[in-house]
Amino acid sequence: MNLMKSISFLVLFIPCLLFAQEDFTRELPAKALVDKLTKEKFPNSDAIIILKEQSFQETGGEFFYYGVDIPTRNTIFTKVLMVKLLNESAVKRYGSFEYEYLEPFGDEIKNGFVAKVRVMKPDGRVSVMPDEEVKIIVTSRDKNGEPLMRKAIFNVPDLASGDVLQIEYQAMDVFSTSSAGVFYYNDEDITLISNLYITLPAKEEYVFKNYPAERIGQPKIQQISQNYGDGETYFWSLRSLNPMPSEVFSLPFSDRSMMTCFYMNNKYIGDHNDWNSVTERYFDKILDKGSVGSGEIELLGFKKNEANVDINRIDSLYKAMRKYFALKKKNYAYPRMDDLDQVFEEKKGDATDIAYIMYKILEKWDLKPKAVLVRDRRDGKYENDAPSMIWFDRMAVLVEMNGKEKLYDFDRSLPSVPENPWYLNKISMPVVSDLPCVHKLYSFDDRPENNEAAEIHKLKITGDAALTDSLELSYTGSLAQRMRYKIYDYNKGMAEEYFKGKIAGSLPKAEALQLNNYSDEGRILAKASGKSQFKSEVIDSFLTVNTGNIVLSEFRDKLFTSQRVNDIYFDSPYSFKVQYEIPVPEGYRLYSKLSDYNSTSPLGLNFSIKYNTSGSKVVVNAREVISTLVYPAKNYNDIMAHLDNSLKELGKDIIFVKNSASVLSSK
Amino acid sequence: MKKYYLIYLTLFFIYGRSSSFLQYETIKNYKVQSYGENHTVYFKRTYTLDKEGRISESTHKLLKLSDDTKNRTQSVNIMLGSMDELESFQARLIDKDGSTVASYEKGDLLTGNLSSNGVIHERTAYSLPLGENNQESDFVEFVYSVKEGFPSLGLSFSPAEGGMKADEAILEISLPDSYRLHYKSVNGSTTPEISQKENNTAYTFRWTNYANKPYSSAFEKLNNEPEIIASFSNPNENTPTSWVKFGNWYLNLIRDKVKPDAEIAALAEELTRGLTDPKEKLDAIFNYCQKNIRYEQVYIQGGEFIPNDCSVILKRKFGDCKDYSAIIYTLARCAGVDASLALCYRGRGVEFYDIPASQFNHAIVHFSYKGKDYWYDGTNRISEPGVTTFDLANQMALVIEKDNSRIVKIDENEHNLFSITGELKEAGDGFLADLKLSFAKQYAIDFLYPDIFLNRTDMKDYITRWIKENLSHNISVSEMNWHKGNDGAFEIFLKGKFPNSFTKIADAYYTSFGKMFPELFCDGTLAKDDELFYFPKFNRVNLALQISGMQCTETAGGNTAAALLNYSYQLPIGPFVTEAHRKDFTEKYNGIYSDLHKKFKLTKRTIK
Repeated sequence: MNLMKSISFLVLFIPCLLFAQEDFTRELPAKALVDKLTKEKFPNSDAIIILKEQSFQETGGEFFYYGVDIPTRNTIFTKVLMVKLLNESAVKRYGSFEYEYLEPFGDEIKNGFVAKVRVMKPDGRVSVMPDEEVKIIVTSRDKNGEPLMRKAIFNVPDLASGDVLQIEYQAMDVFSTSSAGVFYYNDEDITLISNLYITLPAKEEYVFKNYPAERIGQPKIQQISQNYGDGETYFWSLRSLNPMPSEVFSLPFSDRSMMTCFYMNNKYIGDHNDWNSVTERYFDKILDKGSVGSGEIELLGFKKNEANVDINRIDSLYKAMRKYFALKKKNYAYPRMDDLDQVFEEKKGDATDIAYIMYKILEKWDLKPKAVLVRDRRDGKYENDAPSMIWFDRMAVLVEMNGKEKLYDFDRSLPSVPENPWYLNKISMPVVSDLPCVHKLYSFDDRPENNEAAEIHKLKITGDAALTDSLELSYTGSLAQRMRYKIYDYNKGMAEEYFKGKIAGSLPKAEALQLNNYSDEGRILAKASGKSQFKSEVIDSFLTVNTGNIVLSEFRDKLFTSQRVNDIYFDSPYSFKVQYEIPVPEGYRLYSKLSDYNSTSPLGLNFSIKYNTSGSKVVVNAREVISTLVYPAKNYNDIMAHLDNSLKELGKDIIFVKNSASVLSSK
Repeated sequence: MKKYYLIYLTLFFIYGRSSSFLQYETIKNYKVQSYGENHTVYFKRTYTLDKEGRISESTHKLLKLSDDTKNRTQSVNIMLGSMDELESFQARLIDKDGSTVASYEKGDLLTGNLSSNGVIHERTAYSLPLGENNQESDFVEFVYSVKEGFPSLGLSFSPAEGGMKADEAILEISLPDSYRLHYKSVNGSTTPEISQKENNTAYTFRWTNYANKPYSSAFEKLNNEPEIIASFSNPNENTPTSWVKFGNWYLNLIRDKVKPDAEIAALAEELTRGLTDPKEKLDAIFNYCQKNIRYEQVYIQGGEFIPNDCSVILKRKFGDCKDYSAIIYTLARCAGVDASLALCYRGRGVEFYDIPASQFNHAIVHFSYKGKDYWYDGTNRISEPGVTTFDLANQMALVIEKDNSRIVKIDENEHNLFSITGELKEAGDGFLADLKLSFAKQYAIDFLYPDIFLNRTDMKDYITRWIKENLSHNISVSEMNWHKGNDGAFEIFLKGKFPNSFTKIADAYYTSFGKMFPELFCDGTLAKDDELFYFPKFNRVNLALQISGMQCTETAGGNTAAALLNYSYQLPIGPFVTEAHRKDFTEKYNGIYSDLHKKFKLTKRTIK
């Protein structure tokens, strides 16, 4: 009874904005402004965000539980979005809303969500979405039927291109563990005003950091009441922000958007704002606790106490763990250290769970492993001057042996044989186990030939001038890692279908497709054969062969856009290799005069073709090499022009002429 | 006493739970190969019809877990429709030695709602975590029964449910003796064993080593499922099961949803004010609905089948195909237009309309006027009234009218045309092109819809990708513009390079339409007869190109005087369901393929 009273008190008296009020927190914009935002003026935009306002409020409280007052921290996140929709794509994107949140206490203590929505039509009419349109559904329950997760979901009624949509929603986390956050000012669309409010208890100490500091500036600060210890609100406002569309080969949104982060700096409860305290706390709370049982180590095929362990043995452990455990897609920085038995039972965990198990096993083997916190290039960099756990999504294991260090990361991109992950190259990682904390720079010498997509076609010309092909398609390095990540969940049949789709342009009816064991090998290899889609034609006394390619066209198409916005950041240097073997048809001789070709663009991209015409076949070896990783967006058209030229050269006919014909060779 | 009670309960628990499972002797006799993925060893589904016409469904499956950890399920998943009710469930995990390692009951299932990505629906996903002790190559056996809340007419069945191959699959349909089964086997080779069980007749279909046929041809049916379509009729009734009964049943099901209120009636009146021609009235209603209602899926309470209430659709101004059809139908009725609802299948894959069982995935509106059929599909958002998307051309639809529901063909629009016109100029390794692409009628919808959906950059990307996939991967576009042309057509104007679009031998340039536009038609090899179902490209095409500065010599055909290259063709699109259809198509296809690859020998024009 006391419990329920306490809960009721808590829920009812938590200060909130939308929960308590009828009206919207922000007025709709003036029609004069809205009328200026037209499709004609912004032809390349789906929508214009008139206002993006984020508010984070943290309040302390006490929770009376079985006779004990427990200090609590509650947070309320509010977002106000006012957007002019310029086309149906924007209607689709903004008109369908989803917000999923955890319910750590099931139905006993519910977190809260509320949304208010209205639409202003071009003629100024305003309609408010009825509250009942917001459906809050349970997306996951435990065995007892208690909710684990809920989702708020709605489609905005009567919404069309030309309308202004206002969505205000608020999510309340009743027993929040958070005392830190990162907030981004930019958005996918042009943003006219982007506001951020952070309200925190005054009795705590917090640190705010802005990136880039000179663009965002100092916040305005306002004390929310005169009572001692009441909170202060920090306020930032930015205007006319560029859109941040998602594009291939660009920095992640978090590295492009302006942002503010905050974290607690309270020396009394051990939250210092330096890396030593961040990593020390992780060590004390995580690494210094828990253990892996000897039975569980045996499940992996190893002993509790292994002697004379060398780096190969550790590689074997990594491989065994990769084969034993399936990796979850989403990672969390903290392992399920209290449920390791369950991780073993499920044979599934996230990167941190599995890295933690490896750490504990190596610790048992007296190898003094180290843990590093990871934020990789796919998520963006962490800010060195903002020491906080907010940046990281996983831990990895660092082993030092014979003066050499080796990193073991559990990522879906990687095969079970340890190899250098592209996404960690030139990335720093705080080492948890060292004091003072050092930031380890992971760096390896990467070269184009390590990251290669290659196709080798062995063609045959049949009697009716049709072509058959025996094809090998392979990927290594970063190209293989990206692909392995994508197809991690695929079963054998799905993976075969995926590769059949890839080769359909050259072998639409592959008779049989063989895939190597790419989960355990660094190279992904597909072999297939069948009737080729490449063209062979007879013209009078001549026979022409026209080939296509998979890997270079695929890369070019992936990079294609009509208007590149972001600078180009390739994962790694690349090499694209295309090789054909074309037998000289019986009764014919080569007519084309094939000269080696080499083209280096001013940007450093290099394309070359080498021909070997000795013997009874023509061997064409082409290679596109991209050595530079970063190009400004303004170079995009030049890159595409170079690639188009490479494809043109690669697509030239190879012509044979009948031996009996009395013609000279081609010039 | 308590002790004996517990022993009794334990024995009951073990015996009772095991009784519906397979004996281990049976299990171990299955010759299970290692597939590297989860695999269905045994799958039996039983449909039982009671005398009141209610269907209950039970499923018995034996899965072998993959020997590859990452491809192995950690849970058994069951997905039910929003009106279905899971009545019972039991499962067990069996190790390689045949020991039952763990047992599970209905209470062990976790449930979740499937709403996602803005699609609101209430289908339920049940998931059974296998939990502790499961090992590679263990077996999971589960048995569950479902009471179908929705009395669908007929059923469809695929042995490869969940995309898994099945060593042994059994479909049993048990009908009261007075009922008769009508079925169609997709592959035509499966016939049921018939047996008597009390007062029921059981029809049992069996498959061994079943796998979904892999998709291997562009001409093939896009949907190879289901394997069996079935319905049943009661000979005690005067009318056998038919589309008429299906239509009446469906009309009755949705009757409350399509009742107009005063607001709908007023809107109908407003939209058709001053119009007297029924088709003009329906066109006005259609234009209003497709412009003002956006496409969103909301499946609540049987929403897979039943539209939302019309007044709700009008208020929300969003909905899916059923909602569009329901509101157009209701407004039309209010305006005195005798339109009908129609059900059909989008995509190329279903041709079993001789069995009156649900096999639809789309709803539209039909209007028969002055001897002609018109079809209204609001989901197109921008198309001409009465014109459907091209993937519905020549498909069949069930027109739903009280006591008169019937299958009607959605005719291909005879004015469909894709034309490529313009000028080409020799430039080193290929042609420079200045072209106009024009898409009329059903062809235009694929562009008109994205044009309202996308911003200018995204639309340009869309068209460029389309050109590469449907004309030539070699085209490099330098300038592009587009607009909605006359009579609902969509027109694209483009300039660009066509590298390697001719072969140069000595002073002659050899080209063909096939060389310039290799993706326009299909590869020359036709699918095997049993895979030949439809033509996946444009079937009405006009090509008219002028090669400036060149002339065409007599040896290779074409216009010798002015290097004008012209060609037009028409092909049936299918579906090709008879031998005669396939023969006719093959002859025409081969002729056109040959024409498109006929070489034009071009030489530079000499100025005299």
